[in-house]
Amino acid sequence: MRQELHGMPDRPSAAARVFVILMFAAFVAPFVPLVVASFSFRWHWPDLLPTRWLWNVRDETPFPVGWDYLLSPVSRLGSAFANTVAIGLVVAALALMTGVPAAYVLARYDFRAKGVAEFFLLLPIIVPQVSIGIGMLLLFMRVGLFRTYPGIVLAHLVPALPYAIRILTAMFQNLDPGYEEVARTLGADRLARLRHVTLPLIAAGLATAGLFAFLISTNIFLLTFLISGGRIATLPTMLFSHIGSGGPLDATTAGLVLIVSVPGLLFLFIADRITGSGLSLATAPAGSRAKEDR
Amino acid sequence: MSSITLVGITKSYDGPAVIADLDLHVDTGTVFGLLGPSGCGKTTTLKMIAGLLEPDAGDIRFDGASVLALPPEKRRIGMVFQQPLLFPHLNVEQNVGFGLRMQGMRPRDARPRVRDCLAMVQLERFAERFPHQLSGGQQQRVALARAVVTDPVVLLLDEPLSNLDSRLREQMRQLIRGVQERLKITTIFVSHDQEEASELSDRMAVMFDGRLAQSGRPYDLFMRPESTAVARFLGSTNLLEGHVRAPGLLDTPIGPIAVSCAHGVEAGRTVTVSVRWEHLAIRPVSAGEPPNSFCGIVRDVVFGPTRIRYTVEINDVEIIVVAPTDLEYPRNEPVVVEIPARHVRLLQEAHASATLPG
Ligand SMILES: Nc1ncnc2c1ncn2[C@@H]1O[C@H](COP(=O)(O)OP(=O)(O)OP(=O)(O)O)[C@@H](O)[C@H]1O
Ligand SMILES: [Mg+2]
Repeated sequence: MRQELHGMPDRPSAAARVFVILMFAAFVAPFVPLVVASFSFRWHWPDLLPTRWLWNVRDETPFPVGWDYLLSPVSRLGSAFANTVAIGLVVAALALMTGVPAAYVLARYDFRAKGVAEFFLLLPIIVPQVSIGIGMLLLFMRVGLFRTYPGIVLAHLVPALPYAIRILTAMFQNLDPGYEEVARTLGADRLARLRHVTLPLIAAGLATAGLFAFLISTNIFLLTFLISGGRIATLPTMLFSHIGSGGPLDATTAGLVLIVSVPGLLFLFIADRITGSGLSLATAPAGSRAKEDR
Repeated sequence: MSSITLVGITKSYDGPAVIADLDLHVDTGTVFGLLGPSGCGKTTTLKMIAGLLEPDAGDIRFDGASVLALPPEKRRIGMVFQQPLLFPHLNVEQNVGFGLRMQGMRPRDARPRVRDCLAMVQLERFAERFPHQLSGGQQQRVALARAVVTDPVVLLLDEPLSNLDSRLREQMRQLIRGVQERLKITTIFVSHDQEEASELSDRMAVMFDGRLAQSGRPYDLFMRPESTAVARFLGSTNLLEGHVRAPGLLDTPIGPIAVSCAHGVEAGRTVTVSVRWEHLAIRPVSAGEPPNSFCGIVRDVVFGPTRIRYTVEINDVEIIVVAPTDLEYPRNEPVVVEIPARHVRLLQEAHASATLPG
């Protein structure tokens, strides 16, 4: 049924399958050494595999290392994970809530300040994050947002929102305004149109934009580091504090790197389940698909 | 169920006026056919009546009361757009039921009405399908059902039959007529197809550049076009230029023609006249020709199921004659073409509205 909806053939060709497998391999390959490293105690070049594994040395180390450390309460991994996911979810929700109206206006109306608005939307992507971060830090210290969750969320929105708005704008541009016109002639007021026509037609785009905002948020180190003042830890700040302590990639850091990737994958999986349709970065929003059908 | 009146409507997008000072009236419960070349402003007019576009000037009235202040969702209209625009995330039944749902009706209560409307467009079997699983013509029929399910007082149809094959078109024409007569919905119908427009409409109009060039009963438009532009647009007619030699006598490239129009036109003026294809008579060459007869040679013969179309060359001018099928003249046969004086119409060059004598 889902395949029918997309008008795709039932089976991919052999070439397409090989292509998909290669792509998959390219994405998965970097994770393999990470997994190995996260279980290794001694792994020096040019050895293909670690010479000593963690489970060989478990009783010899004075304190837990690797997964033992990460999964113990001492590491505070749990709270960093929870912080990351919670902040990411709030950022994604806020990015959608403010991004949808903004993108709608950008896509549907022509106004004089449009070029200016579009420029400011690009700005956070062009300007280095340090500049934004220091600027916000100075501002937040004065208004009481320094070292607070709202402060971090606001800071994350600066790079996340432009991405979300770009995706949403493209999606609205793809959506034929005719659907809303038909709905109007059928007696749907603004709210009903949004609920019964526009939102269902842009569901895939919404999920994509939300996913992007979430991913950007969960990957931010610098802004969190600056605004949190070391008080609120997320996975990236935790990871960087481990990398920052120098030395080769130890098992703990390797494990942490793996864990940092979890929220995004989790979110993608859940979002795909919920929209049930075509959440993927490659598919067009539903509205544009319908246009081709005509 | 409600008359439609447009008074002095003017509309421009960004540049020059697309609709200029348009007046239009459609009587309660009648069908008004709107014809015109692409880009003349038909869709713009319908959208203004629907409330989807706001006119720059003028007034739109349903039953004499201005509706300009009403948003489209309050105007009680049904509209079928040039594209079907079925909601892709809803199945056929949900699409048709959309308007009822907006009125707060539960799907279970709406079902009988929806099924009725689907039966009307012969698509009961497709209730569960999604729009992308339908052909273009089926989609248009669903769009029609969706537009009438809420019992609108005004129905606006923007070329709703353009994607259908001729058999379905014929069926849908009867269906629209049937629906319209049963529900007595005041209907404006945009079409590119003259036959369709003339068959469906009580009155019709030809629009050029945002103005109505002529309006009236379909018979009047076809038989009594007032301007060259209307005659040329509606077609099926021979246009001849000529000088007025004397009252009731024109010098044309095919020879002098006696006409019953043009009596009030001063001698020496150049005029254009129109003679419909089917008003000419074609007959074999013989002695004792009636007046207004011209000798020519058959250059082309096209057979139709009910009549034959001849292209006859008279004095290097090609004249088209549509004749009954009882006699057949082969190509290159000399024939005589008779132009009955009373069927020659005098046309105005510009499509202004003053009427000429005749
Ligand atoms: N959104 C718009 N912005 C600017 N100009 C427009 C817009 N929509 C239509 N026009 C112009 O207005 C004129 C009338 O357009 P309209 O769509 O009413 O024509 P139409 O008679 O429906 O043509 P068709 O038979 O091709 O559908 C055209 O010249 C068109 O280019
Ligand atoms: Mg149009």
